[in-house]
Amino acid sequence: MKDAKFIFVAGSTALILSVILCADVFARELAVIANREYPMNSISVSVVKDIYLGEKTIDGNIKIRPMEQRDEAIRKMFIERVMGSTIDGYKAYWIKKFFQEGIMPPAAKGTSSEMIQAIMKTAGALGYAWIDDVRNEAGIKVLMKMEVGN
Amino acid sequence: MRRVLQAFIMVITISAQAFSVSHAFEFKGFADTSLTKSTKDADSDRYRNGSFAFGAVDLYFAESLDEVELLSELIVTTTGSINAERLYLGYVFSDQLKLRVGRFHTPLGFWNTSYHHGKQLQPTILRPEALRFEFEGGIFPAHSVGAWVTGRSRTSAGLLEYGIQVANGPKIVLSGSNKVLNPNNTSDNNIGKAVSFNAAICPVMIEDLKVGVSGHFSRVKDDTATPPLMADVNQEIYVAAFTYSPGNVNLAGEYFNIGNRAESDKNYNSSAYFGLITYNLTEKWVPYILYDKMLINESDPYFQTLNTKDVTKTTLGVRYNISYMSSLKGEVRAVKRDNKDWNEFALQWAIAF
Repeated sequence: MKDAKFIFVAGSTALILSVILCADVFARELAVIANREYPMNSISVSVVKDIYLGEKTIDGNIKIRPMEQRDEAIRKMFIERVMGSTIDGYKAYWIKKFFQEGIMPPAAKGTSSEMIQAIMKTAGALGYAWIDDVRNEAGIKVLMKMEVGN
Repeated sequence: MRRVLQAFIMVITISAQAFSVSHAFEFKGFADTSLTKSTKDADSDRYRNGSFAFGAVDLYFAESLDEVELLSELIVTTTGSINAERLYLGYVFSDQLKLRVGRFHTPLGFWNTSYHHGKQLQPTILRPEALRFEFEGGIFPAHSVGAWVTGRSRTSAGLLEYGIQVANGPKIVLSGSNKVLNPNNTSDNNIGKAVSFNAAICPVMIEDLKVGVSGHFSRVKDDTATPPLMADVNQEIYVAAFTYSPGNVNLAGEYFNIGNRAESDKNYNSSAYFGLITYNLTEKWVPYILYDKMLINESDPYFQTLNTKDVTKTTLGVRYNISYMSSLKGEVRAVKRDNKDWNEFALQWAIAF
């Protein structure tokens, strides 16, 4: 009976630990990316927030052109994990911001590859994508990486 | 001629919407509808029978071409006319320095620039009494026509916002049988320009707090040539405002001090303030309470001309967010105006699109 109890507890512990470790192994990385000519080579989360909230629109002498994805999975991850908001909260924020100050919300692009292509062609463009999608892209640079879970 | 102009504006608006589908061009709007009932002792019969009303339809669009920006906001009023609510051209030197020229919402306090005609954004059904629009018998110039230098800067102390504006001063005109303020859209009826300033900080030390001060200095003259009351005053308005959102509670308040100096060099002082508490019970349900008050100096020729009286109003309400774009609000108001008391009950459905 004791042995059975021990085996059950040990087995449960092993199962929980393996789930946690696997989650860590498979946590996806999100990259904040920019056009090659972008004036900065790295960026902090607080600056990304400022850009995607319309508080920072110019860097150096370059107008920043933030872009976001229409793909719900990565968009949700970005808004929740990087921006610290909900999708609806973020949308409501932009309705208010646009009305009050006339500042344009980030331009929406369909997919990672569409966004990457647009960033390559647009001076001051900045966006986000899964790190796997941007590893071999020459026309962009990665400013920040962030593990965002699955 | 007016109908031709209205049709032209509508065509431009619809074209802009079509254009916005294929271009980095944003076209948005607000609309609302309401039902209001007041008790029989109300000082006007506007709501005594219980009145359905549609609010103004607000259509606005903006475009940003590198450093140049444009914002246009058109209001389709309840009488069917189309008014240019805001229209400005801007040049962005940097986030710290923007120049805008045109017609704006006067940056007095926070409410006037934050909500204005956007009822979906506004936490309550009505604006506070002190912030009524000019044509409704408002006591402040809610709109200005002129030039505005504004900016925002992140410092070690916090996020700073600031601005200074030079504009046509308001005048007093006839609207039906009432005298009301008018922002002087196309000319100025006196040589002195109105000057406004605003400054606010969101301090690093206290998260979710914003405090600000603003002011407006102008000469306001009765332009109606209708005796006996013909105000001509040098006006100074000072405003202190704050918003604070600790957790699920949102607090907001504004205090206005209005000083008018008449030609006789006599000074008159009046004040107004409001306080608002909203509580995010859930993401959907947001109860709120608004208390607002105006304390008017009855000897002031400016307020005599506008026929402004003391008001105390307490509003209890609840907002239900249907989605991030639409909400229902229900309110009960206890109103005391010029020693008369009554209650009002109101429902509003607001939408952003």
